[in-house]
Amino acid sequence: MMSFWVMLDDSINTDELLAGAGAAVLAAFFAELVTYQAATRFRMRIGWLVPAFSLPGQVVRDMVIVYHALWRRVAHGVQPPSAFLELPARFGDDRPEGLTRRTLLVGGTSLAPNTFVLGIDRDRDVMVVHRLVAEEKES
Amino acid sequence: MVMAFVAAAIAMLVALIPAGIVLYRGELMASVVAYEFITSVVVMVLALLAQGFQRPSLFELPVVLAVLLFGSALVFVRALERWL
Amino acid sequence: MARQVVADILLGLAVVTTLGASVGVLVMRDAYQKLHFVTPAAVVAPLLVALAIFVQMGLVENTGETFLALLFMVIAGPYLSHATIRAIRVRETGDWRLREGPGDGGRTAGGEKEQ
Repeated sequence: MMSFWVMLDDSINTDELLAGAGAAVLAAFFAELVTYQAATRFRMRIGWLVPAFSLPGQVVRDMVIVYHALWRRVAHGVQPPSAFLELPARFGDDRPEGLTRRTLLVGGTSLAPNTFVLGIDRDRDVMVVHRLVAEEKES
Repeated sequence: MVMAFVAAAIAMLVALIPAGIVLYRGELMASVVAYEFITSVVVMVLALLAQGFQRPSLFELPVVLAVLLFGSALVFVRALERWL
Repeated sequence: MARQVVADILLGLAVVTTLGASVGVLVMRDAYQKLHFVTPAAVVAPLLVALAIFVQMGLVENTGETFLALLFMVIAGPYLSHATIRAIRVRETGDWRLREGPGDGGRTAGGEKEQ
């Protein structure tokens, strides 16, 4: 928090640093308050971030898919084959690790423009997604 | 003044017109989607104008606006999902 | 000179991406499809703009603040899209899950499509 303040303010004067420290304390307090009220905690495993390295390539690939669908819609009037799909995804448990894993999974899957996650079904261990261009056969 | 950045900002303002049409005439949730699109473009336009006019103090506005407009969109989405 | 050219190319790409996305928001059939064109304007175009500013000015305060805004948009954007599409689905059908029954389009299994 403090580093964000310094980055925004671009000053290391004492009064600015004190103001930044106060703002950081307030922000941390409210963050803790919200997590306490929501009864949620996050706990990260570094290995979960490894799939993030493939995200830029996925974004580029999905951009091509999405804009190709737009071109077909504008030039030929062909509606994209959108669909809701269920992809296998383990729900896990309600411990902090499980919550963090699901959060990262939802965020990482929804980053690329062709796929958005609606949720992960606890009972059936599937992730419901919507795809602008859904391929005929999904593995 | 860096003309390329100002020109890009003006071009992006043009992109607000189709989204504005959807916002005005579309269904409720389509309007929310258009609103989210417009907020993203506005943040970019402000950053481009700040760079184009070479005013460092103007760069703080897109940062603050990105956070606030994200929050506002979430409020709309949550309210429309649960109560309205 | 080369810096300016690269910055101009990046800006051009950002503008084209945004204009294309706006056309997508306009012409796509329903809110689900329109939402897929918010990501290019919320994630990809800001990245290109931030890179253009970085190429133009190097690593200075302005660049840092721009990347800060970009970082927030990249992190928050997917979750906003997730919340939005879930809200659209809940408003339409009452539940975001795919349910059985012909009236709701049927549940899919193993990756089959529900239109």
